[in-house]
This record gives sequence, C-alpha cells and structure tokens, in this order.
Amino acid sequence: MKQHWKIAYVCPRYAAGAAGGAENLIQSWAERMRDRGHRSEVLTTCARDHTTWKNELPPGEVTVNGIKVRRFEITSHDREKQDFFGEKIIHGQPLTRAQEEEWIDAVARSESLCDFIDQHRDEFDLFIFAPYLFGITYRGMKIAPERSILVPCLHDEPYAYLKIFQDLFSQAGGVFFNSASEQALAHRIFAIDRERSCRVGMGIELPGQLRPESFREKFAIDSPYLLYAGRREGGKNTGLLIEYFRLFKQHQGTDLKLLLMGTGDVSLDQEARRWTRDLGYLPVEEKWNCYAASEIFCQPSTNESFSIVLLESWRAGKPALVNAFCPVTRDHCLRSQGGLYFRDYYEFEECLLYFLDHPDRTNLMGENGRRYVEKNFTWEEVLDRLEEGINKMTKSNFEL
Amino acid sequence: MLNQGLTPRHLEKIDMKNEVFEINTSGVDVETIMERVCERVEEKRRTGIYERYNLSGALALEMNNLRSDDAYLNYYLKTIWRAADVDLGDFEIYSKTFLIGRPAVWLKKVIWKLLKFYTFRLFSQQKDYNARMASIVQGLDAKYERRLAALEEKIGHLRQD
Repeated sequence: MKQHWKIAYVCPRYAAGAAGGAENLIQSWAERMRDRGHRSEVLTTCARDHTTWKNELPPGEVTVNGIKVRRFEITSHDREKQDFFGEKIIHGQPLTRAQEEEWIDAVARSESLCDFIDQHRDEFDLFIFAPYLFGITYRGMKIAPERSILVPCLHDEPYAYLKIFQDLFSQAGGVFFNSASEQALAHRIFAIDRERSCRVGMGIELPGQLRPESFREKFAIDSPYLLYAGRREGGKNTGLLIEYFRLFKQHQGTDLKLLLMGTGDVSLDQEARRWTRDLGYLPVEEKWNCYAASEIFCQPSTNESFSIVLLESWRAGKPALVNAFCPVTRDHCLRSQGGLYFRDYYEFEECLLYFLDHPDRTNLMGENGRRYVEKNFTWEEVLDRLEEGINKMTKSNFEL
Repeated sequence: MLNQGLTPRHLEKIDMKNEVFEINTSGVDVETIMERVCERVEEKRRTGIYERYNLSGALALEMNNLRSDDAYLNYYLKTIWRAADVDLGDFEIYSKTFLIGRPAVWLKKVIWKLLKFYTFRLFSQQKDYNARMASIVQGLDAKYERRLAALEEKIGHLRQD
C-alpha cells in the first residue's frame, strides 16, 4: 500500500486567513498532510467573496504557507439565475434536472479549473473537494469520481435534497464528514456506501499561552460578555442573537454584554450599541484570547456541519449555548456535557440565567468542553482518521 | 422530543469510527439542566411573566429555523397556540420619562382607547380565525397520526397472517 499520496484539494476560495469553515478545514488539512509527507496542491478560483464571485485575485500559481496554489478564473456566475432558482428550491417547488444544473452552474463555476483536472487527473492520487454546494465541486467531481473525496460540510437545507446531489454523493470515491450528526443526515438523504464514508473533522489546538487579561486591557473591556464568533450573516442567525440579547437586556438586570467577532457586516442600532461590542476580524492570537476572556460562548446558527468556533471556545475552557435546532451543535453539547441549547427566546433567557446563577456548574461545563476537544480533536487524532479513511477508500475503490 | 436517541447520561462510551469516544460527565448533566430550564419556562408562562415581552422582532427571525423535519414540525405543532392566542385585553400603561410621565400616560391611554374602539372587531375576528386555524392544523395532524397508526396495525396483522 502506498504510504504517501499526491493530493489536490479543490475548494472555491483559498487565501491565508480564509473566513469560511470549509476553506479553513481544507487549508489546515493541506498544510498538515504536507507535514506528514504527503504532497499537497490546491486548486481554487480567483474569487474572494462568496456573494459576488468576482475574480479579484490574479490567475496562476502562488505559494500560500508553503502550499502550491493554482488559481483559475470563475467563468460563470449568474446572480439573477441563482436567486430565481434558489427561491424555488427553498420553497420546495420542483425543478427539472436541467434546471438544477443550471442553478448550480449559476452559483459558481470555473471551466479552466475543470479543464485542468481533466488534463492532469493522472498526476494526482486523489482529489479532495469541499464543500458540496458549488458548481466547482459538482462539475469537478464528475471528471474523476472514483478518485474524488467529497467533504460536503452538509446541513439539513432544501438544496441538499436536489436530484443532482444524489449522483454526486453516490458516485464519490469517498465521503468524509465532520461530525456524527452530519454523517447520519447524509446517510438519511443519500445512498452512500458505508465503506466509503467516514468521520474526520478538524484539529483544534491552542496557539500558545492564553492571556485573557491582556485582551481585556487592550480592548478596554471591563464587563463580562457573551461571545459570538464567525461570519455575521442571516444564515448564521447573528441577527437573531442580537434580537434575543436585546430582549434579555430589557428584561434582566445584568451587566452581561454581547461581543461579536468575525467577518461580515452587522447592523446595530443605537440601543444595541450600548450593550454590544463589535471587534470584527481578529488575528489568531487575539481571537483565542477573546475566547478565554469570555463568560459564555453562543452559537445561534442552525447551519453547522462541525462548528469550528464552538470547539475553539471549548478548547479555551468556556461553556456554550447553542441553537437546539442544529443537530450538530446540540449533539456536541450532549456528548461533551459542555453546553446548553435553546429553541426559543424563553429558553435562551433561562439558559443564560442558569449560567449566571450557577458559576460552579458553568465552569464545569467549560471544563467538560475542553476535555472533549482535547480527547477527540487533536491534529494527531484527526490526521490519523484522515489517513485511515483514505486507506479504507483506496482499498475498496481503486489502486493508487 | 428533540433529544430522542441521544441519552449520553446512560452511555459512558460512544463508538466513533472504532475509536472510543469518552463522555465527560463529571458533576454536570446537561439533559437534567435542560429539563429544569424547560420547567422554569413553563412556570413563568403560567404565572404570566412573559406577557409583557414583545417578541415580534425575534419571532420573524426565528422563522429561519422552520424546517420540514419531523422534530421541527412537531415542535411548532405543539406551540402553535402560543402564536395564535394573541392577548387583546388591556395592559398596564406607563411612562419611563419622569418629567412628562403623567401627561404621557394619559395620552397613551386615550390613544389606546381610540385604537381599541376602531380595531377591536377586526382583531377579535383575526384572533378567532387564528384559533380555528390552529385547531384545524392540530386536528388534522392528530387525525392523520391515528390513521397512520391504524394502517400500521393493519399491516402488522397482515404480516402475521
């Protein structure tokens, strides 16, 4: 059996400090698999923004953190068509297969990237694609499905039920998941051979010594705070969290504040600005110190396949409050005993009050979360699982 | 029940791809805490504490959570009455501003009386419609549950035969 592979990682966007979870995952895998002796290359597009898909970066070869990255131009993105069919999909209106393909191509497609895969397919042992919901993945995986691994980053969303994805999942050489709930969801929706499916995830490790005091001092934060980290957008329920926290401040007399960290625009009215602080994107070291300085971490999103930020906050020893409608984050809480979950505002309020009124148990939950991450999501464990998954897939699918 | 199938307090170990996946249960039982949280919410609902909460902004955003999955559907079917049962009665009118407090309260009371006079008929009809719709939806759900149960029983008998 071959010990070292030449792997092409294919993802729609790739840059140092990529904001998306899937991009972050691919970047970490590529760099760490390279350190284990595997040859890593990245095939991506010139786009930076997943809403406009504008070719902002120059096409060609660059090196990012020691990894060869080939960028290709986006050749089709039709926002109007994407929204037109997208609306129909969300409202459960049936589309023909041709219309579904028209929609996925309208999201983002790169002909030159597909041509490259086609012309160089034999130079790579395998291709790893992430996430599933883009024309780049859909078209790219069709070229050499037997040697393609799909890392879907799947959520329970209307798009997942399209006919085109049935083929994508069933024909993939392997499908690697981030969590047990994501894997269970995929097996419920798609016909995936269990031999080709495995759970890998991402390693979460501290970058060094945490310094919460220096963080508080630097940003002049003297109140306890509930932390949200990640992209700020409707799909992540950031607006819902701000609304919930507004109600919490109106009805409960605490000095708890809301702190936001991450990319994307967030609109705060005058009232909200009194108890919300938006720090925007923070460098890695400050991000970790921000976790460590928080009281509680909140992940209101229902669209998570892993939730890196939740695991990072646990690694920093903080308890979590998550949305009960997200099976993945709720499952993490139940497995780790590291957090609570809410279905509506009333439960959100009561959970926060529980955390504030029971500091000992709150600390224990944070500690449980930390142990859960240390036990299961070290890079050593994750890369072992990744290599084992590739080995298992190569045994059952093709000779490398 | 949202937690169905996940009872970590009864499981010391969960198998994750052949590896032992340990659960840390020292001193905390999240499910028990969540039961307590839900009890507290029910208690507060019964005592009317939530009546002064204006959740309109949050409710619109919560719609994002609506899914076709059974768990979500069951939850909303159970709680549909909370949204349908709009309180049309009087409520305490007060002012947060000390200086113009009394005239402000008087003005608000006048406005409320006028509003109530002109809109009560419309709102009470809407409330009646909401209640009927909620009853119909819940009734249909119960009816199909019963029919499905009867069909499953029949299939069971046929299989035995």
